[in-house]
Amino acid sequence: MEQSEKIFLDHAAGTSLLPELQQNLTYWLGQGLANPSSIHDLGRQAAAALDSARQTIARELGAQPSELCFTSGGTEANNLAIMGLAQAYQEQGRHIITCGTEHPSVLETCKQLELVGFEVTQLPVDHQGQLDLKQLEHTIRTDTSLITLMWVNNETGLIHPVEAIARLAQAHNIRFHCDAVQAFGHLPINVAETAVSSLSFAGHKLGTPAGIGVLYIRQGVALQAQSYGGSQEKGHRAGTQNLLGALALAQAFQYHGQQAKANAYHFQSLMQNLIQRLQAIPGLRINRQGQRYSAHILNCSVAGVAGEALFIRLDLAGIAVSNGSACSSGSQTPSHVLTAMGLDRSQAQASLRISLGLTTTAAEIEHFSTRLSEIIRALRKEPAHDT
Amino acid sequence: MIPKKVVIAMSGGVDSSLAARLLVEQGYDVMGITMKLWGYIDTGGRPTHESNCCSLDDINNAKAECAALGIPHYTLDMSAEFKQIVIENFVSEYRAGRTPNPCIICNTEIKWHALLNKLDDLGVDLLATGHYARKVRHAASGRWVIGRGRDPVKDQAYVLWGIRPEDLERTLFPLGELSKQEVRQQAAQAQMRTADTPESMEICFVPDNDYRRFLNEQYPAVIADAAPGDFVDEEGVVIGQHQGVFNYTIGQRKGLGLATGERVFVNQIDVEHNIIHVGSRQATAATTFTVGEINWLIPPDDAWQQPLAVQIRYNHQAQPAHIRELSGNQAKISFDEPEHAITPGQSAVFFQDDLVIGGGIINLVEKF
Repeated sequence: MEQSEKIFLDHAAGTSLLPELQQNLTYWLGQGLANPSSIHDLGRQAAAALDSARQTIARELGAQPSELCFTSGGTEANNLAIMGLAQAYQEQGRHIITCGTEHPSVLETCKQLELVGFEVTQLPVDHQGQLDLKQLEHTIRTDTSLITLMWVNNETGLIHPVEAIARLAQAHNIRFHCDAVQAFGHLPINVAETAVSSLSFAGHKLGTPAGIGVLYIRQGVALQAQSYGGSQEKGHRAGTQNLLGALALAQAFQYHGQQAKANAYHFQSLMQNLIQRLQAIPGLRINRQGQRYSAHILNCSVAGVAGEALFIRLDLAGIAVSNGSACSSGSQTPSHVLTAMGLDRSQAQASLRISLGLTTTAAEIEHFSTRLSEIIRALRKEPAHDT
Repeated sequence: MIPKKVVIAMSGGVDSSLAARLLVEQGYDVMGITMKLWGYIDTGGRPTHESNCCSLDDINNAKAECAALGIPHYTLDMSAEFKQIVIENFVSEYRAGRTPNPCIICNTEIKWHALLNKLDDLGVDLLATGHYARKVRHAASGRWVIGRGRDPVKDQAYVLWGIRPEDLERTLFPLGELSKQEVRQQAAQAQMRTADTPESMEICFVPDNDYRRFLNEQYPAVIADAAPGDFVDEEGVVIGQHQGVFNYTIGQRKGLGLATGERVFVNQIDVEHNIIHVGSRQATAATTFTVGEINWLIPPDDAWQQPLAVQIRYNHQAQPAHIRELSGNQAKISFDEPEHAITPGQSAVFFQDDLVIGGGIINLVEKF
């Protein structure tokens, strides 16, 4: 069907390429990208470029370059960290703590570990999706060897109390892996100040093409490799590195570091604008309460409309938003994050995740809010919903 | 003029994909929808074809064909409705010793009725499918009826009798005038990726055609209730044990496990007494039966006592018959000549020439 001009508000899924990267990517491709492990001159140049990318990222995180392991993205980084830490520390115990609102790349990896004899406790969350630190502490057992909790929730934008979790984990000598995929670029992250064991990052949330990510692993923390065949990345991850991706990722880290203040202002003012407009739509519930949210993700539920119809209408209107865990197989499984927060099935299905990017404008927010309001009104007018 | 909005229901095969293309060429404002009806990983059984409805490959095929046409495509999860209406009916019919046709109830209740309800929410007026059938104005009544597809081999009018008149009003059949060969040729000419997709003939949720396995795996409790009982011949003599009524269908000869020396056929399933009557092929013949749940596409007064042809299963040639009114949406049908294996649970579809004017579900068969 005829589709109007696009408004892209799904940046948490993958945001636009940083403008300065477009030129640089072309330039780097023109340089020819040799294998950084090769012993010849071109290989050494590639290794030097990779090294400098690693240094740049390390600097932005307050980390050592040797503490970084390039991956294909956030999912692989989470898999590697959780599997690798659980296996490396299983002598200490085989109990893992996570919570129900984590990303599938965390929950599914934990499930795999359960199949081989690990025990996983999923902490409950309250109606905002927040976990209870006291409960976390009570859940810790003598055989707990890993806690894995995200920094910013990818569906609601909720921020977990990472500093406090890290201190707790440290006090109990437990590894703490944190999925920071939605946090970097929105919250200050410095590993010198936050006692995490490991952190995951994904490039395409930061303005690089998809296919690059990085795992931070604190010096002295052991990690069992999950792929074999080469000693790249200190033996943590076999396989020729994605140099082009690493260069792009380094530039994105640098950009977000330098622009942190200006970007924070950009996101906060747009988010405020968005919330005000959405609050004016009757029957629309904003799924956030309080201040502990990242300014780029907003989740809301629309009462009295069918989720499928809402999304199709929005798409036909040229508006790209997400319903959390839309899956390519077409199953309308309601978001596990929202159901963990206590929303019922139909509320969860008629929920939108709106996520803002650096290119988002106030005009887009205004247009989106107007169209959303119109669509909701059109859907509610249907006699099928009058009963 | 604003083009009319049409949803094409797409399975991911060549028929619905070409239908989408034809609609776009005809100037409609088209949107592709694939209904997710049944997770076929859950179904068990080995798919007999690479391509099976509701698989990811099929959804991707439909999506890619829509992308090639520059039209949107969405997947609607209708598995809850499918399970509640189609599967439940399938199971309860077998349990009642009847032989259901799940594709027909799926067409009537899911592909048409439930989907059209959803289309209301999307502001879409029309629904198109890749069935080989035509929508025709019935001369005497002025109503829309369903004409057989021009391709006699592929014609699917039989499975569409249940579409409610108000749903048929909103229906398009872009392939009705085409043969399967023409469809494949046009798809190949347009270099469509689905041009060579295999035919799917089996029930989508029973890809290996073994409904007994399906029932055993999915509804073990229902099957456990179905106690073995007696096979009884035409003289009333018990000649063997059956394995529970759901295993048998009228006219069945193979798999009875009876060593009688003669060819015997199931001719009646008596669930109440848990008896299966078998006999010669001749004994399965009957002329008169009742039909329920009738859906009329024309006012029924135009049909009573009129000569009709009635088709009693998918691969049956419609035969001359008369229809008499019973109470409610029930009727009694009499074939001019005896027919073999008139099977309760199957559909009887009423034709005037090659037009479907109504149909219903076969209930009681009067034996000689």
